[in-house]
Amino acid sequence: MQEKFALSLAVIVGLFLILALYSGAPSFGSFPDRPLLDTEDNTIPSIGFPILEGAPEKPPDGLGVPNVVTGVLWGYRAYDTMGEATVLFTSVVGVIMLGSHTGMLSLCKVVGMTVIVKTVASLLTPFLFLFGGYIVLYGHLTPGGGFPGGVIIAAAMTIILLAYGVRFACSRIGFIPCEMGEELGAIMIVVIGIAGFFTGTYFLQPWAFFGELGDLLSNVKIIILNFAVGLKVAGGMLLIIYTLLTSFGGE
Amino acid sequence: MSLNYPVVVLLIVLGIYCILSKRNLIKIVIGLSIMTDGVHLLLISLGYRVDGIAPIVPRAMLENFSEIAERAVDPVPQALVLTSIVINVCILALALSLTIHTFRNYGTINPYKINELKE
Repeated sequence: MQEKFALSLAVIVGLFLILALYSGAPSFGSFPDRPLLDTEDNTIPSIGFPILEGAPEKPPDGLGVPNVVTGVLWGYRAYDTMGEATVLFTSVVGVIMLGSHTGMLSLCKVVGMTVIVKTVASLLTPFLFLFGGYIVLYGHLTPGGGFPGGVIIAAAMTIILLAYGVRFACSRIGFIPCEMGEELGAIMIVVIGIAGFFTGTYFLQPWAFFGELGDLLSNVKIIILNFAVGLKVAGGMLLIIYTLLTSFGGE
Repeated sequence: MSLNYPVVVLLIVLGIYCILSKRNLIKIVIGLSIMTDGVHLLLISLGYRVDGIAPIVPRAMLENFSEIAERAVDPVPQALVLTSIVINVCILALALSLTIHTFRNYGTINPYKINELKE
């Protein structure tokens, strides 16, 4: 009975999707119905922002970064991104609340892999940390940003964790630094947002432009926000991994 | 004829079927993940254009916006999906810890058996 209900509902949704995708939606790859940029005043029609007018005298008028995705994320939709960072925070709090028990870490067995894996991990992780930092700090110029960079940093720490065991990893970057990093990131986002009031724009809107478009320090606000969210994502992911592992006794 | 839309339909349908028919909480979480991947693929596909380039404006191309305007893909779905992926990870982590919690308290991860235990 239940199987039949599930199957019929899935088929109905599938038919609806096929109908919607092949009658109403633009066919695949046919986005150029409208150009991305209005070439007369350099605005994105779907956003309404000019993207490249990062002039200091009128900061709210432009996203001011070459990477338009980052510009959308931290300019046009910055408030949404802040809410999304709050979702991450809430999820981490929930995971810790459900999964952690005091003294669980000392019960964990000291497990690790062979000397080959340990050597490769210790050789690889410095470069992974460096790469994660690069992805975070150059997020406004090249593809990347705080979210992927933070995940790369957490993954580098996970390699150490897999090779040497949970207790070794927690002795290097423990629960408290992760928690502090996560909360520091959240506070930094809000502080940067409020700082927008004192520079004459709106909450979390672009300010602090220096130099030409495409310079490393051309948009300090987005660099700081990327750094904050990188810190937050790295800390949050590590906390989730640690908590889920220690709740199983570190196996 | 591109495979994107059929794969989108397949992923969403399989995810819904998996969520509704399985009797194991971990399999339900897997179904949720598959369905979310289908939605991400749909959003990305809507903003794609054939032979598109990344919506990044390097300094060398500052002078000729029109070339980027004609070739770049839509940045808005990409930014949406970027946030959506992180939220998906959060949901998966929370759902898995709820599963662990359920297993500790009830000794089973079959949601129907938990209902029976209640009565």
